[in-house]
Amino acid sequence: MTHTDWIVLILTLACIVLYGVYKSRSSRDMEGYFLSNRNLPWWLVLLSIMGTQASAVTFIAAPGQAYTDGMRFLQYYFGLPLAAIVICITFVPVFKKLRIITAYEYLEQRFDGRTRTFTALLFLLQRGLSTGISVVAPSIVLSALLGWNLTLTNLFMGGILIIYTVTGGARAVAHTQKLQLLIIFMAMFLAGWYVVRSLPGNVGFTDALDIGGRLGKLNVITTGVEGGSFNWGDQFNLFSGIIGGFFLALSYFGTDQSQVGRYLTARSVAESRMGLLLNGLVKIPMQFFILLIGVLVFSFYQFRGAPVFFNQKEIDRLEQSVHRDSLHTLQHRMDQLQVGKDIVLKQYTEERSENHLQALKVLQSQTDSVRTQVKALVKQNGGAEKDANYIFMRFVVDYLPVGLVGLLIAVIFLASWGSVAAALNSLASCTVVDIHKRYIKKDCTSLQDYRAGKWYSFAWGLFCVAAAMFAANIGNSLIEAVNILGSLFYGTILGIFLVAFYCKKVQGRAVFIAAIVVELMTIGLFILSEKKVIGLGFLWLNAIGALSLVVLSCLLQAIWPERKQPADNDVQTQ
Amino acid sequence: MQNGPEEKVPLFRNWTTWYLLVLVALVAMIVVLYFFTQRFS
Repeated sequence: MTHTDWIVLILTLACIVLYGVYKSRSSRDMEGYFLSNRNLPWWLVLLSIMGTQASAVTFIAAPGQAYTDGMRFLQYYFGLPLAAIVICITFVPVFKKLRIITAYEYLEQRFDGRTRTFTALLFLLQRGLSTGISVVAPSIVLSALLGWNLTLTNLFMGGILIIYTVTGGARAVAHTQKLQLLIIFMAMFLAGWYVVRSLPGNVGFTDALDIGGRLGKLNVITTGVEGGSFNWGDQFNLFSGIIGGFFLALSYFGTDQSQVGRYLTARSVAESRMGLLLNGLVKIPMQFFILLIGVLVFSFYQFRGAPVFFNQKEIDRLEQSVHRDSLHTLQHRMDQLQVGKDIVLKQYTEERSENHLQALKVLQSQTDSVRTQVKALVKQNGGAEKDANYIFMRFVVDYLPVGLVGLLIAVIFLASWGSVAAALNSLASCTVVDIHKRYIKKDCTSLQDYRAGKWYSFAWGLFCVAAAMFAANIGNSLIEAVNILGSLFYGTILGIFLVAFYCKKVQGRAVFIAAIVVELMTIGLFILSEKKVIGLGFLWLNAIGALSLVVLSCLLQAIWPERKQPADNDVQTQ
Repeated sequence: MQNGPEEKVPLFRNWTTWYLLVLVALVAMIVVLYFFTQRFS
């Protein structure tokens, strides 16, 4: 990185931290600290929801996903607008009417204390671990590309945001997310524009789309049907996106405190609903453009020649290993293929003939084959064989102009801070409200609650940085672990809430037993899927878990009824 | 659905219209993306 890039990076990050501290004024009680006194307008709620959902992984991994697998990942978000509608109709009015701080408070009124505590603990376990991974995932990519020390990068990635998260709570989180998103959108637009500008003179935006599309990267809509039957192991298609994505989004936005805490900051039910619905509307186009940048980068590398492997650190390790000669042979083969591509691409862009397209497809297939062989070498050498998460940032570091490199690296930090800050706030609110005030110190003054909130925010910040240090030893595959971790627990948590809202006769004991059984079943299904005993995409775990819990708890209630009457949802808590 | 006293629905008369708008927008996006896929594949 040049001095200019360093200046841009440091200035951008310093602005955010100072702005967060400046916006830290909140009343010294729990409502002020965790929910910004429920006084935020809908547009700030919308930006806060978006900033919480879009982590650094979104901006690092999504373009790489489009580069390697095409744009079909977009279908993952098709269930989100449907989930937003259900949450607006069912969840938001109840949460707002009860004036709860965490979603899990509602479960004690509807069922009992143990169901509330069990669900809160599932959330704390899942969110605590995945936030640690959210810290380390971008650190690994940046440290590999820029040669930074991983421990220091982790400390910086997870540590600096603690300053404004602890001091300012939900208000500081929401206001910094607003500024973070503004910078992120601007930088991503500039990056996309620069990719197109860097294409050869006679190749424009539509040509780049045409090349990417003809080589299979614009596969936005896929059905998952292969050889006449539906492939249940296919992760991203129209059906898994709408059905699996619906249950995942319903869990995430309806029951995950990191999102529930965002829309509970709104000053009315209407403003919460507007934030959620508009997020449902804008998320798909936003993700489309991030993925499109990945396709444009793919087209760019058709002309410039892509590296055999995007993680240079692994290539450097191969150079020092017994696989060095094999690597050189493959690199030479890649160079030869690129010479062929240069000739065919020139002819294709001039004539658009089917013959040249077929020749290009053959060359691309051979290029993919060389990359597969290099990945095998990396694996044999004990390295991480997946390099998709390095593609976009490698392009940024190698080809973007001075200044823009620093800005794009700042984007990764800002995206990470936006989601991690909201997660810390939600972890602290859940710990104080659902654990501390229930089991440790029941009668606290509002000032004591406020102070406890600050201490728990700080403690969770330390935990996440420590988890990031530990997770760094696991390797690059941990980026996928963020999504999988969510799917392991979300089905059960969502199922409990669905029973609470829609199965009025089911009581605490039935849902508690069903929750434990279903959680074990979900983990069992995941293990079977990992061991290839069954073929099941992780998105389906949410739907299976939630629906199984609803059915099982209804059955348990029918065969083993409790005498206690269900609580009235409309009871006021405070 | 009924709107409470604090529930002044923005732009439309009720929330059902908002929900329909989101549904229509989702279907429209899927259709446009389907043709986008067909156009470039």
